[in-house]
Amino acid sequence: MAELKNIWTSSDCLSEKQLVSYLEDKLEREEIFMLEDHLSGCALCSDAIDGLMDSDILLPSDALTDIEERTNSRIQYETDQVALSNQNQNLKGHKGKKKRFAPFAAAASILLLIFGGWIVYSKYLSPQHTDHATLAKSQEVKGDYSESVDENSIELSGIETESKDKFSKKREPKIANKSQGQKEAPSELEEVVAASKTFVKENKAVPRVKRRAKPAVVAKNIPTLSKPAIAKLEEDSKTLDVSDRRQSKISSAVVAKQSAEEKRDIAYQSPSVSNTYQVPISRGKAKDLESSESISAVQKQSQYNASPKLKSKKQGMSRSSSVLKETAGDEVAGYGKKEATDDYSDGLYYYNKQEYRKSIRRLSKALKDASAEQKEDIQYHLAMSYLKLGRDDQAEPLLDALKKSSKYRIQSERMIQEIQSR
Amino acid sequence: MARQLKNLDDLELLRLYKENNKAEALSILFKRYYHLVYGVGMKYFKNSERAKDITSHVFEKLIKELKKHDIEYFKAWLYRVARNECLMEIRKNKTITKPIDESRVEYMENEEELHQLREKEDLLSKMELEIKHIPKEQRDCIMLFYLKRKTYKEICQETGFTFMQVKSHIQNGKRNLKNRILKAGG
Repeated sequence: MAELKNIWTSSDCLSEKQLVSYLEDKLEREEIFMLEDHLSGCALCSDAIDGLMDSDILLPSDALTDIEERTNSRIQYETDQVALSNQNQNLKGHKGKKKRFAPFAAAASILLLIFGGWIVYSKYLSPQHTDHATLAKSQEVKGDYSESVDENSIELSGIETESKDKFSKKREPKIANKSQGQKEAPSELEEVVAASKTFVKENKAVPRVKRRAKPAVVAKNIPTLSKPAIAKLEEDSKTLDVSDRRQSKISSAVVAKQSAEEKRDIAYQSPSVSNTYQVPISRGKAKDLESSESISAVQKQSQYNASPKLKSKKQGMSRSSSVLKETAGDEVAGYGKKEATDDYSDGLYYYNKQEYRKSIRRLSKALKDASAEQKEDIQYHLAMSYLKLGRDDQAEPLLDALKKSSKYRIQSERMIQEIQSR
Repeated sequence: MARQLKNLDDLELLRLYKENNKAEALSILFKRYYHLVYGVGMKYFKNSERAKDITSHVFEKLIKELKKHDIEYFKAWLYRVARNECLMEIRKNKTITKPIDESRVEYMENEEELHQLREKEDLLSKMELEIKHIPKEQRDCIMLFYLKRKTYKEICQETGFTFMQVKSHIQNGKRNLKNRILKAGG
């Protein structure tokens, strides 16, 4: 009865070998007892024995190997999947971190862009900077002129006084007219050509000082002479039979002069765009102009763009240019007129700078002493300044007055319509 | 490494697979039971091919189910899955309708409890008392097997029961005896 104490024993399930040996009755008595004892407590082994006992083939080893391989590959696949999902989870963790920082990164990049934009704007695009650039350019042009005028004076020193006087006398009245923006292209051109011919004939023996003569003005946007005029010039230069290069210099100077005049005319016709209008005359080219008229035109242009504070400085920059300006200025206009022009250019300067209060002050001052032609320009810009400040009631009478103007009729009518539609 | 793994018991291998995603541990664990599950399949289908198919199916299911369940008695759980799969397959084909004997599974699951019984000092006296109250055929088979150390085949010859009956009487007698001892407060 004592053996009953061991009725509930714990043992491992039957191995494949034990199972087959048991079914084939190849086990010892004690082994059989142990095995059957296990069977009495293990339903799995008991059922397996039941199932295999009646089978013809006890355990098909091929089938079991096949099952084992299939299951092992399945296990491997599952473990790989688990590893992959773990990896993905890790990656997601990283992505989550990235996502957390994404708004900060975006904000930082936006700030960086704004800061960069501000730097670019303040350095290159701000109106102040643009004004400085324009000023610098005009200064450069003016400097070129001063130099060229100096050079011209040296060059001309070898020329006989008589011919010089002749040449300058012929040109000065025209210069006066030109500086006021009056256009007398055909007759003046003929006179200049004639003068240049005389000058060439008289100064054939004059040695060349410098060989920097090239076409005086070559610029994309500058209007040149009309085709018949050019043809006429060419014809003249041929008939003159001038082998000296001076001839080409003079003809170039004529072209340059004409260009400068036309350009100035354009500038006067549309002063509002003149701040972007650059004077494309280089140092060497300007030298060949040999004309105080062109110089004064350029000076006028640079004054137009320059700050009033810097203007006096600019004016004193060149001795010869100031001399020329004085001589030309006396003939061009009276003292009051000159002041009006200064106020006008100052007014335009402030207008372009969008300082409309200042521009109104200057333009109002300029309007008092302005010539009939300038009056329209001043009125127009004064009216625009008022409009910019929203002072329509003050702008309207000026625009009404401009209705009669051939230059500003369309603009003024449109502005009046806009005011009325508000 | 594989040798070391082979020395581990079922639960240790299972833990190794679940915690460390160790494929080899599960392979070794499953290898212990392919032939037994195949035998169970043979019991229900009496067909080698179908037994093979159901064995594959059972182990594939185990791979999926292992992650979902916290298994304490792998052997008992494997038996339950294998038998249920076989019965489901049978129901699908409507070839056999056999009720599931849950008591056998429970008996396997309570194996640890049974082992603890052995440790008790008064177990033998209680067994002597309780064995008289279990059915005679069960008591005879148990007495022949444990006291006289006869094999199942010898018991068959001596009692006239079939191999299956002897096996069943011993299993059921053990279970009834345990239940009575536990009921008596053993």
